[in-house]
Amino acid sequence: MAERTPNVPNTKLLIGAGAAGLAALAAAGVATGVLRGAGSPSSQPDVASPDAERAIVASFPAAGQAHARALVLQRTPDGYVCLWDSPDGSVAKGLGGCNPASDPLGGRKLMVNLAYDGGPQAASVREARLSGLVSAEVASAEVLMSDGSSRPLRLLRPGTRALAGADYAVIAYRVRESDLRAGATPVAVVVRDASGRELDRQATGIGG
Amino acid sequence: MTRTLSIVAACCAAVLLAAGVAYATTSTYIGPKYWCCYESGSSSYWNQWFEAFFAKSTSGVSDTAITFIDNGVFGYSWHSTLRGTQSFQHIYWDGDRRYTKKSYCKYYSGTTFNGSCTVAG
Repeated sequence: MAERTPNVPNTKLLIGAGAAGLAALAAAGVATGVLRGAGSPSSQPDVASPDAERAIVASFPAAGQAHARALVLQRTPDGYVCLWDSPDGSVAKGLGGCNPASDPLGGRKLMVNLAYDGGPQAASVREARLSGLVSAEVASAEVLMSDGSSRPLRLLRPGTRALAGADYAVIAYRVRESDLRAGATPVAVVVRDASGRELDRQATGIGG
Repeated sequence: MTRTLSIVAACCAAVLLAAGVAYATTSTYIGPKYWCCYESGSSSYWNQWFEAFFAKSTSGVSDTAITFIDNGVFGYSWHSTLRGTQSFQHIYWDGDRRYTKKSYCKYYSGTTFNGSCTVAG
């Protein structure tokens, strides 16, 4: 006579298996980006999508030992505006990032990235670049240096509306080798309106 | 009963395998977590790491950086460092991949956030 399995253990087993299945699905969802919790790894923008649009909006000319680089503006299909400091114009090799396309400046008048090689001590920094977007009402910008001096930042207006949804000015500045040799590094970027009034500033810096 | 269990186990294994393949060469070395204080963290050392990213729940208000640090060959120097306030920050190791390095991310100032740091190889 065949042995019969009691019903109660079967039910418990099925409930347990179902719970395990749900947990597995949740893990897969997180891993594959289906569940995109803010700040989680799976929340990353789809920067590699073939449907993403991009344009080179500025460049960093070669200087000394430093090679030329391109500044790339990108709009992803999942709603992000990204800015990449890239050695070859590609997004894949870019140093940069993204903000939601609904507000590429994150509620500010400027969004600036500092990319550098060397450090964390200022004296060992070999190369440093500032890149960013600023609001259209910004008339001038400067970078404040650690030695108390400042350097003007040229504002480029390449036309960003198609990708970024508004006309932002663009910053692409390579820190002078002479400044780096002297240990002078960027500590903040300040933007002003046409009257010279400060609109916003963003702290930055090497190491720390 | 045995058949049912086998099917359930196979399904679970398949889903977990799919998840594993999706993240086979990545390591989220911090978070996702609430970043309340100015803190930092780093991944393990490996020569195959070539890109890393910092995902945050805020944009424009949290000053953070992400970088690669070599294992001493170049004096534990920082490489491909990026500092800024964007909600997603990405860096790429454009040098020789034979060099061993780790990724390191740091929260400098500004509004607290939920975030995570991930390195990929």
